[in-house]
Amino acid sequence: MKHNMLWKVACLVLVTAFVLSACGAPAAPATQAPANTAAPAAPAATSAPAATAAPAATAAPAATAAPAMVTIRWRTRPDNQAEQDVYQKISDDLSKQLAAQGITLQYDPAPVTGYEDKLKAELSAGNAPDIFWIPGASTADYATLGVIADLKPIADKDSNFKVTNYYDAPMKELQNGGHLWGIPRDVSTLVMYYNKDLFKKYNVDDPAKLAADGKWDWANFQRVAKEITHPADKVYGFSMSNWWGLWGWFVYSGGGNLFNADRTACGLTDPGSIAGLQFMSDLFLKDKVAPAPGIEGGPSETDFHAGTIGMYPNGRWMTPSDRANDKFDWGVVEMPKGPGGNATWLFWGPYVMNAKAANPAAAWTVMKALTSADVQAKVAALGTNIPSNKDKAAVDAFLGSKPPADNTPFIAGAAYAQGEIPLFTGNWNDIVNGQYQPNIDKIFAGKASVADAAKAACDGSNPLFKK
Amino acid sequence: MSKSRTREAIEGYLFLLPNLIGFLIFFAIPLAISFYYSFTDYNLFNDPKWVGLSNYGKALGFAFTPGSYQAGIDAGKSWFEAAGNIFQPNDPTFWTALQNTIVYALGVLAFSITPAFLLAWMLNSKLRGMTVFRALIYIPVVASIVGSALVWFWIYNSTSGVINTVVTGTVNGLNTLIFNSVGHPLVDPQINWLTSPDLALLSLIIMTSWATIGYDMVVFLAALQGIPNHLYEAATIDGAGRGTILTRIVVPLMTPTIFFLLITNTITSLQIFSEPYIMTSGGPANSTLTIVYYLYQKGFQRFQMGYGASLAWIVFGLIFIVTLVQFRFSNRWVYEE
Amino acid sequence: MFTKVDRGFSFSKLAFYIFLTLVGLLFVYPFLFMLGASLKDSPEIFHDILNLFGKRLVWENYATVLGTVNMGRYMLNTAVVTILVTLGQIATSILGGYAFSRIRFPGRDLIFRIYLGTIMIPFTVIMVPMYKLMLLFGWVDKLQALVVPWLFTAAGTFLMRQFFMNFPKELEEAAFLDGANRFTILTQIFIPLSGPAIATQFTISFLYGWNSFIWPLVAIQSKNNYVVTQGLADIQGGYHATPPIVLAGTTLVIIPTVLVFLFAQKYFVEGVTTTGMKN
Repeated sequence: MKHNMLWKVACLVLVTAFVLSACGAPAAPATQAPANTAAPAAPAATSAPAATAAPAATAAPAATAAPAMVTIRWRTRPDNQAEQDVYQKISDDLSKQLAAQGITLQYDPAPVTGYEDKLKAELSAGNAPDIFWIPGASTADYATLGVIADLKPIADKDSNFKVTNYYDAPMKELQNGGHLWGIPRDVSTLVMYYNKDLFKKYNVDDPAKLAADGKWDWANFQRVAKEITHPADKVYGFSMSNWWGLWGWFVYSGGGNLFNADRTACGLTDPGSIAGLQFMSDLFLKDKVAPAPGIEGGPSETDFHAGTIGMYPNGRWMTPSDRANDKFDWGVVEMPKGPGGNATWLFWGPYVMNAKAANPAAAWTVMKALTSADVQAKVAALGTNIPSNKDKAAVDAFLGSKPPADNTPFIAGAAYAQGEIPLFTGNWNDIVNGQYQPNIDKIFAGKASVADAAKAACDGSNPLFKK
Repeated sequence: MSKSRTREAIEGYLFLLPNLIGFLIFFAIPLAISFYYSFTDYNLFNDPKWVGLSNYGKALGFAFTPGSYQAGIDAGKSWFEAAGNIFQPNDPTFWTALQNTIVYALGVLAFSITPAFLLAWMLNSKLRGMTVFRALIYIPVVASIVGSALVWFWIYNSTSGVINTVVTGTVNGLNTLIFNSVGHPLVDPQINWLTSPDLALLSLIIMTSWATIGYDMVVFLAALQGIPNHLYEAATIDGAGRGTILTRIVVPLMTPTIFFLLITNTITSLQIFSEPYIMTSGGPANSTLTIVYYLYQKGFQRFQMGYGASLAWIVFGLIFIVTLVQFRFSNRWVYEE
Repeated sequence: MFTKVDRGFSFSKLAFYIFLTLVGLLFVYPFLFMLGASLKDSPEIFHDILNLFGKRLVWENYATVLGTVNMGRYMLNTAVVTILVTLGQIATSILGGYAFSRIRFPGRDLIFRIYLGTIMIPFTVIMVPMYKLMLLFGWVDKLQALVVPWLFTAAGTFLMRQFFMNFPKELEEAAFLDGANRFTILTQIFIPLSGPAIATQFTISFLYGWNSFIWPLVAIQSKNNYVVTQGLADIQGGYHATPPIVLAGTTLVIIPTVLVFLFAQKYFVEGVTTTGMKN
């Protein structure tokens, strides 16, 4: 009897599976949202699902294009609506420009939250855009998995394309192993944002003045941070989130390194790394000039906008929110000089091409257009990004985007910056987020000494590197 | 089978069919695929290769290293710490996540069921305005977790948040009134709700409980209203006070409801994901990393879908065992009519 | 606590009301804060965080959220999804719950146990296979992806089954003798008696539909098809440094569910009996 029942259940599974395949299509219109046009269920093969789901309200440019046109779908991660509007406009303009070559662009922005998670689901399902932006550090992961295309063969044949047009640090990483994994969209150094009004209020030396006098070093940074700090008023000299870019700066500034020279082992136990992390730990725990760091994009950053924080290190991407929120005079200065000499990051993010892009030649044309001096100048004028293209027109557009009154610190650091590191010798997320981060958190919380935390981070991560 | 039985069976399946079809296609099939993934090295992009039980071994396995006991003692550790070194988990983060998840679940149970019951008992009063209070307490249940989390950022913010502002105000007030004159002013604690590894999990437990109490309370309330009035009256006539009625009549009658809530709350708490995802990213120092969040990290963010899938099945096993145990022991204390 | 109707005044009652008011405030304070802060100027929110409202009510924050961010569109999408999911879940749960509780058929208890088991499976487990399934059906980036897979709920079926289990056998036996078939019995006798359970399921389904987050994040791409939680994630990403705007978006996401609850709570709460919660 038991067997009999099981058999029936099994039959039912089969039957329903058949019923389903028959029902699949009719089920769709029945549940169709009124906002949608009655597009029939699109086959999985279409490379641009957004076009088939075009709501009645908007005229999808792709739908009106002539059938001979190639549609290239591309994606960025706009931080705000203004940025998205600029990219949309760029996309529309380029569509017109490239129409003669039979290429039309479809801009497909995605939100910041879960940006890469969504991208990975789409890549896995073979449904990702032809071109997409990714953070520099992630490049290696995508390249190693073979989901982004090696552009070297196309680039070599293209006499118009010169790698020297872009900053060296990202180009060096992108050409790892003799390949070309993408073209940088933007770069940003790490700078110190500071609240000029607080410095005036407490009569503390202005960092820009200290920098001009060549005195902008750890000691003076620590001193001004202490002088600004007034816990009773809830005012602190310094603040930062616990994002790796920020604690990572302390590592380099101390003369250390996140990894060993060939990136096959953890570098946090190097004396320089320890010195940097110890200096950072003292700011939080001994000098108490900074509140405990929160998650990236969280409360730590809003505290700066609230006007209660003297200095906050961040990339160019924080500038738009300063413009929107800060009701005080603010400026930027290069990061202070540490025992390891001048140090900063050169963060970068490339446009990469989907390995499954149906038309690589057309996608390459679009990639080049998106990173041209002309387009980069338009984006730079918005103030969000520092152009990856070193062309003077693009750089001037960036320098003219104010406030801050002086944009040169953003560019100056590029000379000595450590480029954001894509880890071709291991999984960045597993190593840095999985092993380094929890131990660094313990330093912030006073739960572990710097030496113990660094040792734990290295013990945990060293087995994860490919030798 | 008799004819009527056959007919009944057909009708049974007909009624179940709309449900069953959806269940099979949108649940059973994906589930089977994910079960298959858990035995492979699937990384979202490759053709999955069979690796047997190695994913499960990686999560649950230990290395047995008896030598490390003596090494630990030599390094000056206590015998207890050194003994802990004998078994080295293959993936320590998994065990951290497991521990956090269990603490999270127990914390939410503790912080929600008892207060919810007491509130329900109070709101079961035959007084005016009870429905208003009931509605107020229930509102957090209906609010989206994503939305609530964004609001709680402001409540927990350690420098300018609501709680700490109140604490600072109280400390300053007390100091002005009393402690400054004594010469031992109180120190503002500046509680790091979300940024301290000791407190972050507790902060999330409080927030989740805040959003759970209303539901538990309403279920209790419904159960309480099912207790016939004559029971109370009879008890009152017999001279029983409020306390006696509560412990001798109400609580025993409530045991099925408590059981129901225990099961449902445990199942939801063991699957907690959104709160740490939005509020703490699992940190600081992995203190709020739950298993489901960890499997999400592994499976989606770090390209180890096979391993992530095996973690998911371990969560399922855990929930299954806990539920089974709860059912097994329910007859000891759950009152049946 | 006060089990007898008593309209007189007493100090214990006064204390009781004061206590409940404090508790009630504790539960709604975050929402009052949200509402107040959503109408503040950006820097204002940081300074007097305990003042519920700023000097001026900045309605422009809502204009930004509805205009620039297009939250109104997301709300419409979500409403459509939510209504379809809610109706579908109630219908399938009633049918399934009835089959599991009142009809004997081979495999019933086995299937039911499997159903129960699935309540314990986290959604993340099936997310990637589900995404591939959506791709197969061509539903990626369509609202179907948010509706069709969610028309069935094991938990809802369980709830209905538990509720129906408690109806006495005589209820349907009499109807059978009168020659009624099962469908008639279900629609004429069971459903009219199931108001509370349906209301409970309605609330659960509605909240699910309105508040779901991870799946839409993955399944929906174009902004025209966004749901509110995605809109919120978008605002949080783009405006996280402008808290009043984020909180204005949050208010728009939370208010509809609160309103629906306030209207439906009578049905939801008052009728639910303990019987639905047993076993």
